Amino acid sequence: MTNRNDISADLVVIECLSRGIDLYRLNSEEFPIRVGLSVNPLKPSTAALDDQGDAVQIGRAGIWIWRPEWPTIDERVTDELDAEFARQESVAALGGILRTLADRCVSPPDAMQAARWKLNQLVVAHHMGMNVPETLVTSNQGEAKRFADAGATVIKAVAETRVSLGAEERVGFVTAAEKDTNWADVLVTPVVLQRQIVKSCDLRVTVVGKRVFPVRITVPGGAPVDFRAVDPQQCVYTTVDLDSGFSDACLRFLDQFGLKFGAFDFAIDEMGRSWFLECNPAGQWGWLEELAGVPITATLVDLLISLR
Amino acid sequence: MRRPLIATMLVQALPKTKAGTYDAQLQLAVNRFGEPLLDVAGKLRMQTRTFVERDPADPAEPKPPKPQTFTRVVQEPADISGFSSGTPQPPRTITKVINEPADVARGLPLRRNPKLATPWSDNLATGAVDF
Repeated sequence: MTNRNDISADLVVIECLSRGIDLYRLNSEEFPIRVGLSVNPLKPSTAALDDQGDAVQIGRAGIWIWRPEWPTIDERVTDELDAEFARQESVAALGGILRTLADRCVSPPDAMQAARWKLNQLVVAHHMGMNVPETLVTSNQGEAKRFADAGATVIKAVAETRVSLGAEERVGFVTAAEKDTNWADVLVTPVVLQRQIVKSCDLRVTVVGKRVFPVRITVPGGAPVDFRAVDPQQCVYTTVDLDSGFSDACLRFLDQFGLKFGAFDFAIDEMGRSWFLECNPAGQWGWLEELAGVPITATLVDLLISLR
Repeated sequence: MRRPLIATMLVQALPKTKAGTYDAQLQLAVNRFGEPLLDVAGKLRMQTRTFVERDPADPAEPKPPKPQTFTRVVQEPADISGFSSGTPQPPRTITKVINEPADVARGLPLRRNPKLATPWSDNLATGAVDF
């Protein structure tokens, strides 16, 4: 369950096609206008989609939820409230079905919802024994300035550094606080302030089921704080081994949320210590697969078919 | 003008996640030739084609006759299992006719454009937000 424009979904489709695995791609924006559904909630295995007359039995399938988009309502519904009513009902029906099939999902929807909250992620990471940088979430100008005055600080979004309105979308990255940062701006909305780790490199750990794919990412000198702001071709990607305690902590973190997929970001300091930054329940992996050779897509498909 | 501090981090417009158009039969984005954008490993190819670079100054060598077209079968019904046993299902066999096999640009393995699948897209990451 994804959207028409998702490139990671394309990778999974190609892998399935190349292995002869039957796959149905539900692009949620095509629901319910092109694709319908029906299910007896007490018999979730009967859940089926109706793709223009063709039945797709999703009740016995493995299900991967990956960045679905809002349902599209028939444009002949001209009353805006009617259309909104139809949209929220469509979300409730599709979301409800997914919950009856939670044990067939790579990561169930409620698990992904729970894992959205980055602040709680820090708490869980701490409980798993991971190092977590000193952090302050605040809309208090004085508190923000005091935190920043006490040491090098990065500014992060509480949720995600992306916003869209109509056709316009903007994206940003974690940035370092500067001497001229206007701390009064936190009055508008809270931010996450975190003690900056002097990094020797970044570590992306992608977990699929029980398999762990750690990749060290070394950025060129003078690069921005956030490796995602660097052209991937300018970074060096190296697969590394983790000690079992590290891997176990990542697996237990995902178990805590009920996730079977997660992309962890750690900063590695000059002493070699790892610092948990965040875990993304829907983190990208395509570029890592290409540049570091980690077989994440194939492993994800293995996991998906094991849920049938 | 007052802005939230976090807005100073918004440095650029989000790039389109990918080019191409969606092929509902393949369930993939395809290029203008109808080929999957991300067939980087040639996984969907049923044939291997090789090409030898020649110096244009070299005299032309006689070439073997080339077929006008070849057929690539992406998926066969016998390989399908699972989803819809006992229910009608559209034919899943997809046959694609590719013309001009001597066209080097199209014969080379399609490269995954790293700009299409970068860590930038992690910003879209929460997924299933309202589902």
